[in-house]
Amino acid sequence: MLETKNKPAPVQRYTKSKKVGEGTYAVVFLGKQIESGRNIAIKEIKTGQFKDGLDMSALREVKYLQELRHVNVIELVDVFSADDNLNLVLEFLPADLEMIIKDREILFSPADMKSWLLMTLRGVHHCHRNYILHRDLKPNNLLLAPDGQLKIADFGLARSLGSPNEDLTSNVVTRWYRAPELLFGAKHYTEAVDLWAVGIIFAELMLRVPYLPGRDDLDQVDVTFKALGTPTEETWPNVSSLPLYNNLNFYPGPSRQELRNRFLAATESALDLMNGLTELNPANRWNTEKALLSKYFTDLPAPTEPENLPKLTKKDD
Amino acid sequence: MTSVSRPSTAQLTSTIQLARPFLTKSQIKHAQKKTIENFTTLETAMIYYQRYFLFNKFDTNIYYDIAITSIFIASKNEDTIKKLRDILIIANQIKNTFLTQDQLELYRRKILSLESKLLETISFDFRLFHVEELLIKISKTLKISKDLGYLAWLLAYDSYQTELALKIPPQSISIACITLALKLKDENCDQIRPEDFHTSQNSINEALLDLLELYINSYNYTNLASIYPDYQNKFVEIRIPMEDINGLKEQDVSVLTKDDYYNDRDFSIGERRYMLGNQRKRLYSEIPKN
Ligand SMILES: Nc1ncnc2c1ncn2[C@@H]1O[C@H](COP(=O)(O)OP(=O)(O)OP(=O)(O)O)[C@@H](O)[C@H]1O
Ligand SMILES: [Mg+2]
Repeated sequence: MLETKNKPAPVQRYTKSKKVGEGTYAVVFLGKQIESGRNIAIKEIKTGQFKDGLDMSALREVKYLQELRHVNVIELVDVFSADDNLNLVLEFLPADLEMIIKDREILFSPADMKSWLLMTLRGVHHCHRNYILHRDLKPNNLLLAPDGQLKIADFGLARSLGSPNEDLTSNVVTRWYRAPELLFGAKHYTEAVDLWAVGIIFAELMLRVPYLPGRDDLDQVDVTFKALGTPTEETWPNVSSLPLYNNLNFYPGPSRQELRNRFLAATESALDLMNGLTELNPANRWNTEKALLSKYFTDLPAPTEPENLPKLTKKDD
Repeated sequence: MTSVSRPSTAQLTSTIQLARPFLTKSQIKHAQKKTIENFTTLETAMIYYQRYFLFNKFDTNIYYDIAITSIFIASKNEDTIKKLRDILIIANQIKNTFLTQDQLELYRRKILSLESKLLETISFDFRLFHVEELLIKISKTLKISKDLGYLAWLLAYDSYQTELALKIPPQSISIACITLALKLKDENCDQIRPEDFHTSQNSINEALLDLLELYINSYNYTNLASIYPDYQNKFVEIRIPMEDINGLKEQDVSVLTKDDYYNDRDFSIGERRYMLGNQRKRLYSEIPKN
């Protein structure tokens, strides 16, 4: 948003109609930008005496979305306050990847999966090259625009990559998508936590059910390592010094053949990419660049054009 | 607000507190670990405090509350969040006031309403600027010794007492601090090329001049003075040959009066829209010249 000299941007007007959803810290309404007729979502941040003022998630969402601009990242169109309320105007995105995965009537092809994964990785790459960790990637936070573009949303847990002496909380990312270093309570972690989540989402797209659905935090550890092998000092030097590396069951990693059986439709290059993303040792896990340049994306079939991707069959009116 | 609490009866000394005239670097760091958990939060708070009074009348009844509000918002933005209640309890201890639970709750609400006012004043701009982060990186790039880097770091921390953070990007302030540290030690600073760091000589000069003014006129209030008590004259010496050095060009007053940015902020208009501005052409060009 470039500011022309000394002239403030024109005031935009919005209408606000029906409520479309509610999260922990905001109520979301459907609206229109009056001048352009464009559909938008207005996220009204709840304030209350019990809360300690502006919610951290809201602050993070404003902070990071104000500066990020990318086709695969949700656009924050405007920030305004009215009657003591903070409102975030976002582009209107009527569906998300979780709805698509759960909609049993939709069949999707390997090319469709490749397209969604490509758009996800492009959005994540844009965050990472701006030193921003998302820390809550999951199908439900990958929203879909009417033209088929996938947009990374919900920056309520995002943070910028801090200086190396800063402690980070390991209590991030929704359980099923949580990387092993987080399960072990690491206080220093990197972009690799987002790539793990992308790998698990990739698996979920192929399986059409969550890949590592732990019942609770403890079970998550077991489910994760049963599927992918328990890390040891050999495969991941110094792993045993992480705070929660204890009381583990030791499972061997899956053989290539076991993975082929688990993901019947996956090509060899798809399995290579998934292995790279779900590499237990974060130091060896693929980064967005390596993932985007992997053979999977240049192999046929080419990714489906966004506008030709499957849409939801059930439309709630 | 002057409710000074009655001092309690003196107790017989039961511990011994040594006064050490000098501390090593690591001793200072160690001691500060307990007092200043996070410099960056404090710096951000200082910027918010200054921004608040750019647009709101300064009033001795409120500056303490604005300081608390600034720390509160900074602690959120820097991910070092504290419960407002806990901040208030410490703030009252420092001020030596006692509040009942009910009064504390009222005070909390007051700060919460100041929070929205401050957030609107800073236009929900959560971009952070820290001089010392870049300072360390730039020092490494320039192969500055650790001791000099530390001296520059002390200067950087003092820079928040000036208005520099409001007018100049952090890399220019960092380079000004490094330059000044080199000059304090009579070392050559010709190897620094502003273009390499996305800045201009003029904005570095602007920072240099402001820092010199701080150290020449208010030495005893600086962080540096508490560690190096006798550098003041050196600053005067450094300043003398800099008579015809130029800082940044200032805009003509007639331009300023036409700029809507400085209009009184009206917090009663129904809807107030906020967006990030990017005016920085004056400081450096974002497009490399070659
Ligand atoms: N840009 C958008 N366009 C359309 N609908 C949206 C948009 N953003 C959010 N929604 C709807 O509003 C609901 C609430 O969104 P919000 O991001 O506040 O919370 P959430 O992510 O669902 O939950 P939580 O706060 O627990 O993370 C979403 O589930 C979705 O249905
Ligand atoms: Mg969400």
